[in-house]
Amino acid sequence: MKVPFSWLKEYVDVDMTAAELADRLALTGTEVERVAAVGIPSGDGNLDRFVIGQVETVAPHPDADKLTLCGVDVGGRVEKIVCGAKNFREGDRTAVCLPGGVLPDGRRLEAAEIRGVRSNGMMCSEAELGISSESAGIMILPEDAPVGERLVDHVAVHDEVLELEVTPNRPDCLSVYGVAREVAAVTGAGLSPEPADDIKPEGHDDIGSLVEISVADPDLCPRYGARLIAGVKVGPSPAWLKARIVAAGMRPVNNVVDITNYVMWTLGEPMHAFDLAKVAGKKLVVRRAREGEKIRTIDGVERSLTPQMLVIADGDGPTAIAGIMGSEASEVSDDTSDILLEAANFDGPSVMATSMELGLRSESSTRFEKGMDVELVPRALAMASRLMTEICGGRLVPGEIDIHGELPPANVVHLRSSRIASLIGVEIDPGETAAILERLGFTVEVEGEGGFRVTVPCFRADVEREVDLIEEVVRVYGLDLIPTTLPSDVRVMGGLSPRQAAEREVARALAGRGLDEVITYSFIAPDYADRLRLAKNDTRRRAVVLDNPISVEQSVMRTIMLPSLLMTVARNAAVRNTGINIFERGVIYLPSEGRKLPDERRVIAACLTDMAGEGWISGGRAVDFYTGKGLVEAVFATVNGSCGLSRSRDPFLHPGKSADIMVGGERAGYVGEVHPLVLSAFDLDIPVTAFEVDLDAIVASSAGTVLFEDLMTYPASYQDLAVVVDDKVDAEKVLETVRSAGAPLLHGAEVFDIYSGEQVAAGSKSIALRLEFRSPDHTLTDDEVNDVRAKIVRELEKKLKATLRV
Amino acid sequence: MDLKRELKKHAGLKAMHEEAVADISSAGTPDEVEDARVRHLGRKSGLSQLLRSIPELPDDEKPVVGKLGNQVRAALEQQLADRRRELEEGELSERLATEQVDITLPGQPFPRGHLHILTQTIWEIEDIFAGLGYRIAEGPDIETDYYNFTALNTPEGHPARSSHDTFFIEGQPDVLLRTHTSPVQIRVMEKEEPPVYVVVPGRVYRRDSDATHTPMFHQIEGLAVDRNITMGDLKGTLEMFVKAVFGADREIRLRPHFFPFTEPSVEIDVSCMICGGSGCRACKFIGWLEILGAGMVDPKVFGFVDYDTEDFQGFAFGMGVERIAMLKHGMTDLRMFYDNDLRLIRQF
Ligand SMILES: [Zn+2]
Repeated sequence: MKVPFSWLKEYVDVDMTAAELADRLALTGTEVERVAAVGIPSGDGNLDRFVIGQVETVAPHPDADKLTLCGVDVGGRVEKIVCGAKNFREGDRTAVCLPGGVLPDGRRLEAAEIRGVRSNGMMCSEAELGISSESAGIMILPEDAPVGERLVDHVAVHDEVLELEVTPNRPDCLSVYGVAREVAAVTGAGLSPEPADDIKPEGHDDIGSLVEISVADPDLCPRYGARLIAGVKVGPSPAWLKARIVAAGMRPVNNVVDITNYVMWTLGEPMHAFDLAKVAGKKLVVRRAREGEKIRTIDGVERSLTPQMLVIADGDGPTAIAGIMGSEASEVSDDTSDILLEAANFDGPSVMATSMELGLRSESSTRFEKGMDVELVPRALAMASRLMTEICGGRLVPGEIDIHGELPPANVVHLRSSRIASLIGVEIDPGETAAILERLGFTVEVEGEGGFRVTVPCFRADVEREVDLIEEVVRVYGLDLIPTTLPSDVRVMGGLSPRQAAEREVARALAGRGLDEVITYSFIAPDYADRLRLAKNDTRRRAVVLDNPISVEQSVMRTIMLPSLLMTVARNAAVRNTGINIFERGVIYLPSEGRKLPDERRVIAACLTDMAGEGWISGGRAVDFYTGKGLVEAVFATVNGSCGLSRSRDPFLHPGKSADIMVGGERAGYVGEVHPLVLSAFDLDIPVTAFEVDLDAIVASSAGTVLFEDLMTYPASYQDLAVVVDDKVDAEKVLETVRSAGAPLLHGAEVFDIYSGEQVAAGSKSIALRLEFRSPDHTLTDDEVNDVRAKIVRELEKKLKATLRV
Repeated sequence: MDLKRELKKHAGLKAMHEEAVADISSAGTPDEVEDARVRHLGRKSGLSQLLRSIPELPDDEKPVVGKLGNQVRAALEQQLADRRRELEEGELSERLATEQVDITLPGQPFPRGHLHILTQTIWEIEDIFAGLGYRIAEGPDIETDYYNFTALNTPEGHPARSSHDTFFIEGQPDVLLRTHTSPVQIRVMEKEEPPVYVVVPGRVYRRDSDATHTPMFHQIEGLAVDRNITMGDLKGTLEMFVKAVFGADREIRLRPHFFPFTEPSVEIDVSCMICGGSGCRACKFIGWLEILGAGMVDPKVFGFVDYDTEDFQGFAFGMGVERIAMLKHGMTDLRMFYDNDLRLIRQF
């Protein structure tokens, strides 16, 4: 909402600069996007270089047919000025820019030779002065304009415009007078009465006999008012009106249209002017459009209407879209003589729906959308009637049309001073509370000790409850005066849940081992399922689909993290980043049977490409299955938990170098080298090892509180053991056999070497184990240890056909 | 006892001692020290022979030679040990002096990864509020229209409820991607009676994609509901938060605003951390930067969760994590957070 400062000051006696007022408004709830200067720039005495001049002599230019050479009195002296316009004669008064003057478009005028004749200034058009969007010829001022005085003191050629961002709950501030009332409330400045004083009609006819108006759909039109102004002369608006229309950001059209816009800008009520001669059948009906009806709006576009849309129809059909735009058919033109003025109240949601459906927004529709005050209808008609008779020379035809049902009663709200104190934390004097509310337009009566009975004005439909009044009082009282305190009686414990703490530990563990964390979008392209080679019946194909995605690349909610990470690896590889090892904590969205919302699972996922490290000291290693497994084990170790592995059937992993991660017998994720076909589907030419684990499963695997075990009193014995087994026997099988044979004195067994080659038979391998023996109650003797070891060897021979390697 | 004076009593011992002392002092290597030991204290040395011959000496000489001889032996042993250590340390120092490395080469690389800057920002904020007694609450990304809008007092027909602004789920017109973290407020209050002190971090989604909007971003929401919570408490809490994140000399100011789920509603500005409040390009020459929306929980919201509005009141606040991170670290392009270029991630 653009509010020209000079216009605002017509209604409120504010003793501040525009910039100061903008600051005050910002702190009391009206956001000011900026304060813009319009018209002639004001700095550096520039306004002094624009004066009122009088043309004394007009002679043809000696060298140019289209130019004239004028002598212009600019106050005590006559300057020679070359002019291209023809719309004036000797004696006319006009706006003169003297040499050095800077025009609104930034041009600086200098004295110059024009076709060999020196010109000491310029006679300006309204467009050049920035007070009109176009003009034919120079600006002609009234005959009593004082020659030699500054133009700005008589015509609004310079202004500052407050550009307000009005929140949707304050449609009353979509008007200059509404803003003036707000300014008066927050600054204490005096407010003038609303400029809506009425005029007396003339003549003996009656609007009711000249035009017939009815409302067929009152649900969408709570109030419809109309007046008739006869015998107007349509033409350009006076300069002051044009200047205001331009400063408000609109385009001057003609005096009739400009007046309707001016009233809308002043009071907030959108109006429409019909050319009565073009209203077919002299009859208007406010009704829903009929299937198939069309209208050509004043912007020249033909629009198809639907039965949800409200129109104003005449004998020929729709002649305006209610609250949005009129039609070419009934538009006011230069030869219009009788004006049918409309001020109405249309249903907000209906106007918004129609406006969205048609893709057509106007100053009118943006106001109606927010719900306008029904009381504005007669006041807007009064103000417009007065301006129209004054400016366009018509007469107000007696009689008035005002169709409405029962108007809503004023809302009454009770307010307790004690409630203000308890909600805000500051005591406000009841007298000050009442004064603030009254300045805002509320009617306040004292009711008991520190209580008020507050009547809400109809332009503040947003105020319904005590808390709404408290907000009004507090914002004007000053939010800066509220003390800063902390909740004084907090009886709860803060902090992270075990799951949240574990998630942080896991993330830190991975970052601590060299992985970088990424955050990718939760939605991806639907072809990820094919690129991952997922089977047709894989539940991970049943992704949640967006109804209105921005693009197909962001159209389904992911059921697995891997594709997002592979794409991130590819993007980083493409810009030649090295050491790409990344992880993400995120959510996957899995189908849930019979529930409204999907099953959201928090997971941690990683893609590894190179852990060898760079630099002059080598140490790391390239990435393979065991890199992934080692990190998964490290992840579980952060919560003192563990997982099992079983061969994976996931089609996006290398079939021989992949595993399902198992926790408590349930699948909790996967780890493995990514399948070469999947790598190429994601345009990757480097090997990738990936894993993905459910965070709840990690937490569930935790061993919980650790109990002390005495490992110091009686020392352990260590023995190494190497056995040769068939290649197909997994290490875990060997360890299981060792553990069960070694119980209870065997305390631990670990693989420390694997060998296959010349020193063992083909098709077999050697597994070297370190065994730890201990007893909680004595130091073991060699005999005890040797007995257990022998038993382990026997069991390995028996169960796995292992042979001792010596 | 002064050995030198005592030795005047026995010219032979005196001569032996003097010779040995000179010999040991002139030894230049540990091997030469060993040679001197053999020469002067070995079985064949004059001292050893003298001490062995004591039984054959006249009775009056026996105690003098015995006592003095042992003293000489002890003194020479001490001198040998000192000389040996002196020479060994010298040798070590010489060797170490030749073993100088280039201390300017990089150290052994221990891999160090990086948490995403948004993660670091979220954790910092969570920890501040955890210290003030808040728990961390979470909720689903895919939400119902009820929790995302209705229970937060967003009117039907509000532009945010349109498919222009919000992502909806195919085939389920009342299911959507949450547009803010506020639905978690409702979920928490439905489950728990006051006192409630929670912060809610999370991903949120809006149908916007341009230089200043990404379709997914992060918010942190806060909610405090108790018997005597005031707007002063809101102001004090957020002032403490702002000082913790942006520095102790930052200040806040409240501006009235409008949100459907709070009343009164405010926006909160922090004094510009770049210019200190005097005005610069970052703060559009106002000296203040908008960082938070907040307010007292609207009684209508309490109505949806059956809290008694005469007994309980509370405040809520919300902020964009990306904005906080950008202001704190001087980043200018929101989209960088989601490019996941390691050249950015590894800076933090
Ligand atoms: Zn600044």
